[in-house]
Amino acid sequence: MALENLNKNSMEIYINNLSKKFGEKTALSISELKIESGDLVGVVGNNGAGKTTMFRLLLDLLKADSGNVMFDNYNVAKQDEWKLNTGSYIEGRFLIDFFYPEEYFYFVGNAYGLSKKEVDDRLIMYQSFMNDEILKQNKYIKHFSAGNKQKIGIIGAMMINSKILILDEPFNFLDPTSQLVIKKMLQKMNEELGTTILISSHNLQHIMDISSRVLLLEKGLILKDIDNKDDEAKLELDNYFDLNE
Amino acid sequence: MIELLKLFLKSRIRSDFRKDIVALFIILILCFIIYRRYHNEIFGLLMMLSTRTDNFIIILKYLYLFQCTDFALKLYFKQVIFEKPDLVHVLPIKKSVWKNFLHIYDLLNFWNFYFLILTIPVFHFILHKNELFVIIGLQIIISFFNSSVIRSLKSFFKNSQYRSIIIGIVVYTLYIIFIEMINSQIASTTYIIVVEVASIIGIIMLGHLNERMVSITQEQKESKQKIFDFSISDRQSFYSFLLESKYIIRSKRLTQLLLLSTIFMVFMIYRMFLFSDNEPVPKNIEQMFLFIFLIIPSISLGQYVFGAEANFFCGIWTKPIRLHELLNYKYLFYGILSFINVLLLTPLVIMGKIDFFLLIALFLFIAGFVNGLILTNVIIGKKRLELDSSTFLNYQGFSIEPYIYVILMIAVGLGLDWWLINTFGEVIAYFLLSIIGLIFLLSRNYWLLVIIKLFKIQRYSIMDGFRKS
Repeated sequence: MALENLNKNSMEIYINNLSKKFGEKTALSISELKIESGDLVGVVGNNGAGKTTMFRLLLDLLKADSGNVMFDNYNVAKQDEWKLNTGSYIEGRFLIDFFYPEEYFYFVGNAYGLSKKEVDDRLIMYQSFMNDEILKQNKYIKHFSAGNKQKIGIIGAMMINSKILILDEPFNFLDPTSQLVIKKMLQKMNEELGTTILISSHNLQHIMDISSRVLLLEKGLILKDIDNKDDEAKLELDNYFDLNE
Repeated sequence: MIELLKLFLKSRIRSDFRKDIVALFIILILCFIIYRRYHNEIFGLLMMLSTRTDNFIIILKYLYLFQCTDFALKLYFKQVIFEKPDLVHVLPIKKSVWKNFLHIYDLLNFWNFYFLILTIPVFHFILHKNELFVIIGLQIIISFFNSSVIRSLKSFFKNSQYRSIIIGIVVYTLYIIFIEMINSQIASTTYIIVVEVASIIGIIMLGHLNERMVSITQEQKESKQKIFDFSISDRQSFYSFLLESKYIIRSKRLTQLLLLSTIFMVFMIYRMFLFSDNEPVPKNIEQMFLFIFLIIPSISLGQYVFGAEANFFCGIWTKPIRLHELLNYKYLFYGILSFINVLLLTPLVIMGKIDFFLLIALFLFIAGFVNGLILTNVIIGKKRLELDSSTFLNYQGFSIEPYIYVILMIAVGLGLDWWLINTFGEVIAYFLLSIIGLIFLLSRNYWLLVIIKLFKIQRYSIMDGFRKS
């Protein structure tokens, strides 16, 4: 199925005065951040920088100490409508372990109003990513390897063709070929559907290759907000992480 | 006309014949259970009645009393034809033929004869032949009259969403006044009013449910697409139910939990068998036994309401999944498990060790009301349940607060049950227990939304608990 046939509208993300503390430690503090509709934003930073906390706050999985997150006009903490337009995969606990992958995809598709046939059609687009290791394996998700679980989670988030896509560390556990495939798929989705995409990763190269904008997070703060349209991020990130070493 | 009747008969045999067989089977089973349980009383009563000379007058009065229930049953459960089906529209059938057909169809309908099927054996025993024919004729005429009135009223109110409820309330009010007038001599006024009002509320509730079911079925039939292509809401319901049943079947821990419950239930049934035929089961033991027996599945699963979903709750929360649907199917699932327990008790009912009406009343009360109370535990439980671990000596996911809360909710249910039976006596208490259960069952969409609203207020601390456990 051609991606261009699908909905091209996307959404913007607006973060206002968002902060979260765990005890005395500030996990995240963002005074203001706007992610334009159709941006592909990479979030990088060392361990404990606040990437996952940021994504959890974006998805209303954590209570913010202050501030709010808006997806277009929807306040994520107060409304549910944004969920219909948002695909996400943060960690293994997004998966229903005792389902077969097919059941999981139908379950997700059903939540977003897709018929079984539509889900089947969309899964065809992910055949190369699945590499014949996901469907018709006759085993529950809990019995798959970490890499294949990661694939199932990513496909579940992407196949709905949402207006916003949020993926935390999507390249983790994946073999090199799958990393390249998913990079291409994310780029294609962003270009053809105009999906606003947020991904985090420790792999700077992947982030620099596909992101139109890069956020560098450290100790809960956005240290750099780099426009990467002309590959400007490479120099800045190289400099920053070299300095850190 | 004959061709028209043949056509409808054929279509009925093709579509509803199996339903009729099932209905007849259920009626026969009920008759058998009632006969088995009360045959001494029934024969005693028949012997006493057969010596009386005023049976005809008494039966005549009870026949009028029955019309209220007959009207209500037909109003909600009988499929009434008041508009020409498309097939008839395209055929050259005269209006008068169509009208006559409707009358004959109403007259020959099963709904005019079910009461006679049940009562003729008794009436035959206590009435003279002539009186029997009069009663049969009268019954058919009144029943036919009811059917015609219902068809006319339904046709008149066909565009009103609440037509059955409007018609029902008006007609029942008139009926109650009428019954009150003619029956004041044969039973206590308060008793008749309580029983009739309880029946009416129950039937209205059942009727409302029936209409919703019919409407959903109709929508599904009208859909041109196949099973996965019905509306989003129905699909969500389907998958919510799928989720509920699959994690129990596929989870070692919950399967073991239900297995332990089953062993306990088998032991309980065995204990009831030990009561000999000469030694009736004491009433308070019977009530306690039934209550605990029917509530066991809800206790087993209800202490962890979202404990299994906690394993993937982040995924659920970030998707457009309606939590009240998930909860709704948990509620229905617990009800189904309680119903399975009702079926398990059927041998004891047939043996006369358990009161059938108490069993049904408690089932409705537990499935409708007590299970609803147990579901509010969703606000208290903050522990994730490891589904793959064994349940034996495993305290992972266990916390004392939800456990005590569930026990408290069950105590509330048991207390209310005990109070109703001791205050109003068995018959009225059974009706009230059934009505309470039905009201909660049919209004679940409203109060489940309230529970989910409370859940959402506390969602962050609950999700935090899920992550940490």
